[in-house]
Amino acid sequence: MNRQSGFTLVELTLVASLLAMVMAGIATFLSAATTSIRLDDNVAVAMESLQRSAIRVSQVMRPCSISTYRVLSTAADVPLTAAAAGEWIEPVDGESRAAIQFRSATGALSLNAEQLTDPRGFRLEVETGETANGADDDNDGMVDEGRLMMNYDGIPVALASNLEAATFTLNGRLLTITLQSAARTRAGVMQRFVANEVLYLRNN
Amino acid sequence: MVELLTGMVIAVLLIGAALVGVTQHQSQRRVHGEQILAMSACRNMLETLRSVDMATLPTLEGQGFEVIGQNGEARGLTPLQGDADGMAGEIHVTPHARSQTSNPLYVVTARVRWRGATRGGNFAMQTLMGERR
Repeated sequence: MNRQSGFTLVELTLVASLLAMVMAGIATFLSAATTSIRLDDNVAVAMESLQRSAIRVSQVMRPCSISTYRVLSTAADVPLTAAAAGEWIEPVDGESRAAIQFRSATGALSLNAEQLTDPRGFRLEVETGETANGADDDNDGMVDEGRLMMNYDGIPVALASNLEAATFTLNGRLLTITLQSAARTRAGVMQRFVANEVLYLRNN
Repeated sequence: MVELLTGMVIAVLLIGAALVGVTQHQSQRRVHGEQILAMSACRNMLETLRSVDMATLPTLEGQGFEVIGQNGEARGLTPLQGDADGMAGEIHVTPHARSQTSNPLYVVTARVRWRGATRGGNFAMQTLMGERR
């Protein structure tokens, strides 16, 4: 009788099922690992995007003529420094504001700020579904989030989104731009982060 | 049996490699985050120094500065052990080779040394500062 060597069907079935279990375990682990990496990346990307936005704002503001720098008045400014809310008023040193307006040197003549652009400005616009009330109205984990709108020579441009706060603080000639945002971590908790840019306004 | 054991060893090695990769990725994220903080602090410090009077600039040699954290906290990076002033940042001001009494020119360096995700992180930015004519 000729006995051929090989595997029986039962052995093959057993091995296949064991292999399937092992591969399923590996696939589950890899899936969890990639999800973890992706969620970590979300936070890191959000932080880097915020930093880039702050740098971009400072680049736009660098040719700002400091004598034309104004802040938007609020109800708290009435009647001491403004007749009504919504006026463009002189800034107070060290006071943070969310909406500013300025004119920049055109750059047509080197080191000459006599030629100025039309008024430009920044302000935080709250997104649809949110109200500036200190609460998370749309249940996305972010409070009063909005877009940083830039008015560039009459053209509105959304410079950054998902910002919880955007403030501008002038101390002498040093302007501090502060942007705040948030992103959800692996644990499902909202992690908040801030980007600060300091800018020296040398144009009078 | 031999093939099965071989396969399982390979599977374990694959899982181990993936685990190491994930850990390294998260570690690199931390390192990168700290480097961004250091870079931002150096950039902001050099910008702040633009407002300093040229006559007082040399007196800032060796002065320390804090690195603001990612949440806006006052101390974002831990200084190295034995740091003299307990601040991760440091300013260095040295006269440039072409500096003249009538026209001073300085090499200004903002440096941050810290410990955190790495045993010792180091970042520096350098610029020239002189009187604008």
